[in-house]
Amino acid sequence: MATCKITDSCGPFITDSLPDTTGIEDRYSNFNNEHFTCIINSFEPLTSALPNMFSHLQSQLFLAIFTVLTAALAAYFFNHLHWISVRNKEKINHITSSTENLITSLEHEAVLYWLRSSKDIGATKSKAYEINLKSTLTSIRKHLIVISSKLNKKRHRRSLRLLNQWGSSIYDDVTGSDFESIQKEPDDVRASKIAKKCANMKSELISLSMQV
Amino acid sequence: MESNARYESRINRVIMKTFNIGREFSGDPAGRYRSDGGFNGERFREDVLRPLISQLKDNEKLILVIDDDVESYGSSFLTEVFGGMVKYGYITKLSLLDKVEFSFTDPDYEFYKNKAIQYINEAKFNSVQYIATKGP
Repeated sequence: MATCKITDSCGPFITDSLPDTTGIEDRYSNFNNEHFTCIINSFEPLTSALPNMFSHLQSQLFLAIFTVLTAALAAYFFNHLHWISVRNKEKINHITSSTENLITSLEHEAVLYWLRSSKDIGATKSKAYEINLKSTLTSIRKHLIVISSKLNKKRHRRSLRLLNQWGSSIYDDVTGSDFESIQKEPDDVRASKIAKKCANMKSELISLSMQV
Repeated sequence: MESNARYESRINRVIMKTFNIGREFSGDPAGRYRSDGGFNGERFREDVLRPLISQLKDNEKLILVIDDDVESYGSSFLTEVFGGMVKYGYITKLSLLDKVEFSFTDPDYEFYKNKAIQYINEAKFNSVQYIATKGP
């Protein structure tokens, strides 16, 4: 295909040598096939470059879309992880707070139970204490299992061991010895031991909820 | 092959006897001594567990169902029953752990199984002479 530069040869339509015409009709009157071919030819480098340009643009566009999608996916993923972490933390805080309340209740009931003899308390009241204490211990154990399941096994190894040991030893202290016996005598040492263990566990739970 | 066959036949010959604490003893086992109520640990040990274990033949085992119709157990009851079996010299720890198995469907009752095993292991064989207490 012949090429043509936009020069004077393109005629008065392009160059300054345009006859002194006064209206647009004069311009069109000078617009013949030769000029048209010349103009079309002048665009040929551009048209031949277009496929390459589109290909380049396509790859650029694809790259841009890919980057945006990857960034959006990463943002979504990290946001999702963040909220899982936040929700997990909220759950642990909620359950540790609930466990603290149960331990407070256990401490209160167990101390009242062990500071008095069965005769002083009375048979019915003693039975009520015993039923409450056993059910509270069961609830606390279930709570501790849930807390343990939410904690990182490696990071909170010490806390997990403490929770497990505490659940077992408080059961022995509260329901051991003359528990459920009509001959139960006041046991100040046992009562204070239970209170101390409960206080220790509450502070452990508070520090645990601050760590997660 | 031959040793496997022998092993299997030995396994197959073990007969399991089951005792459901909640249905055959009480849904509220509580207390240590006979004076502590109708369904105490001493009664369970002396009137139920000891006779059941003594009747077991070499190829028999006792399965205790611990979670059916029973709300919970106190440490005093479990210690008196399982620790008492060893403490009063009725059976050695190893024999007791070999003869008795615990059965439960509720995973919460694994705690009581572990406590019972703990009390068996902590008890000293024949360290105390049993003196029966009187009921109310």
